[in-house]
Amino acid sequence: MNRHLLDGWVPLRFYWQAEAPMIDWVYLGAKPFAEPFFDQTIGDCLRHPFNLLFRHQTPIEVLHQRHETHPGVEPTGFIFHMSRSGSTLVTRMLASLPQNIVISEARPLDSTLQAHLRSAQVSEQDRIAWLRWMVSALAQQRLGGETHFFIKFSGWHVLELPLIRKAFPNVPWIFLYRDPIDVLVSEMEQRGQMIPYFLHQSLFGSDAPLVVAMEPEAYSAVILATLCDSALRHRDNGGLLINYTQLPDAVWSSISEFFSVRWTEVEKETMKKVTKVHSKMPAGIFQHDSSRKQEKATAQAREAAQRWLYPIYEKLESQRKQMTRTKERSPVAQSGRK
Amino acid sequence: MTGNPAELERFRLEVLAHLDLQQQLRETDDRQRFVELLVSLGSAHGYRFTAIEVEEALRASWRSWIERWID
Repeated sequence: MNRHLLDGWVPLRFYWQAEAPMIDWVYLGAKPFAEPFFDQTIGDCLRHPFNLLFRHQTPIEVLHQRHETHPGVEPTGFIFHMSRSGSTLVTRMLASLPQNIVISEARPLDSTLQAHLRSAQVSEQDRIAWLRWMVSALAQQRLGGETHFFIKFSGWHVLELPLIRKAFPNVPWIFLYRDPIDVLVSEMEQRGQMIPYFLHQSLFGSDAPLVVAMEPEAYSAVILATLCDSALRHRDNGGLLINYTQLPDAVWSSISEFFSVRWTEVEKETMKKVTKVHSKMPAGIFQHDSSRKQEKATAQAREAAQRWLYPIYEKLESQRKQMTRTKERSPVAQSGRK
Repeated sequence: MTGNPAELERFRLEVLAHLDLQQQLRETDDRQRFVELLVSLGSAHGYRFTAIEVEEALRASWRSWIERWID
């Protein structure tokens, strides 16, 4: 294949043809990932009739070749989240600056991480290699001056942290979480990944039938607790815990510092402007809405939160505060105060 | 005029191998004009297919995107 034929093209799908992993590519050209989610940018792109009809379908080896010749921008930081905890706001703020490539919940990454569920022949080494290649294909400069690259993973991907760390051992990551009642109320208002069977049952092993049979609030709480537990267990492996209450300021302070990124005052102002618009509904303004959510919580939601989520939430809070204290006592922080 | 869906597929593969043809086809995002341009370019390169076949291919591709969650 001519090495320039895929310039400006991006993987929109990882799929299987017979037993072979394949990549479906679409032409994106200079269009940045400006929409809140990867699928929205791709959907917008597919409104152009050329992109609907003309797509390259290649074996995954072509992704490897592109990785060798076009490695793209090295990932700056990864964003994991409990869901409903401000991750879209964070990515919208980062995406407001032209030097940042921000990929949010990209379906091809999801399919790559799940490849072993589709074929037993897929080894961990395959998934690590494929993930590196896929990330590099998404890391291509579109405007020409991009220097930073952030990936917001889907909620359940925090369960794959060990594998993601093997693929990218030097990329720092954050985990965003929020008061359990707020998350559960939001989830019940607008069901997302907590719809039973949406998450692959094998993630919950032999407990899967019991989990799926639970009431919606309890089911969601068990899944959310599983996500939080994974972040907690792996936090010492390159992670930073961020509570929703720290937003939006944490984006230009602790998160940026953790990702080793500095912003100018003008860039900070640009990011702050994004907070004036609701991340997923541009007609609304972003504001902390915990009190409204607390009022709307049903008895079932409160019971599920108390039983499944508050214990892990308190552990997250304890660890977050301990990390902050440790940082404040470090020699670098001490010297910074002088 | 009658066409042949296989001819459309063959021309599609030819376009995917030629950046100049791709550039020409990207120039319009108006669906009707795109269909006319594609039929005309195909004819100029010796491929016979119809606007109806192109429309059907566009609809199938969009359907595939909409149904992407159903593996």
